[in-house]
Amino acid sequence: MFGKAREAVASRIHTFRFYDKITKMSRIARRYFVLNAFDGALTIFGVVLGSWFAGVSHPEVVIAVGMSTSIAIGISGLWGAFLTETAERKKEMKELERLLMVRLDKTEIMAAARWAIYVTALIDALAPVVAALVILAPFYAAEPGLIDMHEAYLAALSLSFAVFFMLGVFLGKISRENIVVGGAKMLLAGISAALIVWMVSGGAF
Amino acid sequence: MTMIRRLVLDVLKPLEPSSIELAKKLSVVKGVEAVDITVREVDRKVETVRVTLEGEWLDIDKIEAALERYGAVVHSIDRVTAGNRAIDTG
Repeated sequence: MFGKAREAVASRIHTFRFYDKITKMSRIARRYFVLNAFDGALTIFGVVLGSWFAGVSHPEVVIAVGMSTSIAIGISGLWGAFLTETAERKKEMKELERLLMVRLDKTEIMAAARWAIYVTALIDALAPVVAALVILAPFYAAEPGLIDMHEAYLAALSLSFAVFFMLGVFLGKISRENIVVGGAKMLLAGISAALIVWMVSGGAF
Repeated sequence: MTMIRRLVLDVLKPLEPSSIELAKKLSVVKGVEAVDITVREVDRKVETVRVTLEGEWLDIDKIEAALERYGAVVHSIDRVTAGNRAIDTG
């Protein structure tokens, strides 16, 4: 029984690998992932920082604001990526159809294009939510009183910097550059955001 | 029954799936024992290739269907070898 299931999964993976080769989806999805994860992480970082400066002392408030913000970014990513990718791939298919002088509706190329659209949109949607969940994790711990709010803020800010750095490392790995430099570049964005928020909030701390 | 043993096709295909992928897919079509794809002309999005297939019992319909599944179109059948033995065309 498990043999058959394993076979089915293996064949699916094989098909998806083939689709990925045709569509070069992973290259595009990687870009979307970093972009939107960074968007999500920086936004949530702003939410955490703002809450801290405003003296929010209830973890549920930070969680509610953070999660709803990240879900909104996720949905924006889902829609944006879906519509953009659909438009791009449709254009590509139409051009291919014109050159080949055949309809491609029932071909594996079309199936691959459709698959690429869904996966890219899904990745774009999930990236900010995952980033937000990581950064907001300390507040989930603060809710039942496992840690106090001050610790939660410090942990969440540290996690934000860790997420920025990791995204930079990821980009550094792709470009085969120095991963520390890659991480530092992303970290710089976080630091500038923190500085600007601090200045805007009147330099309260 | 007539046996088609060798086919040479002039095929227009998208650049993706690549010739490697297409050769792999064609090699698992029933009756096909060997596949050779030679690129003849490369364009920006499509390429013209010569597909040579050998087997004991080649089914042109199955081969054409397999090509169509990957967006490739047979432009012409350039050479056919059928029967019990190969002809030396010298």
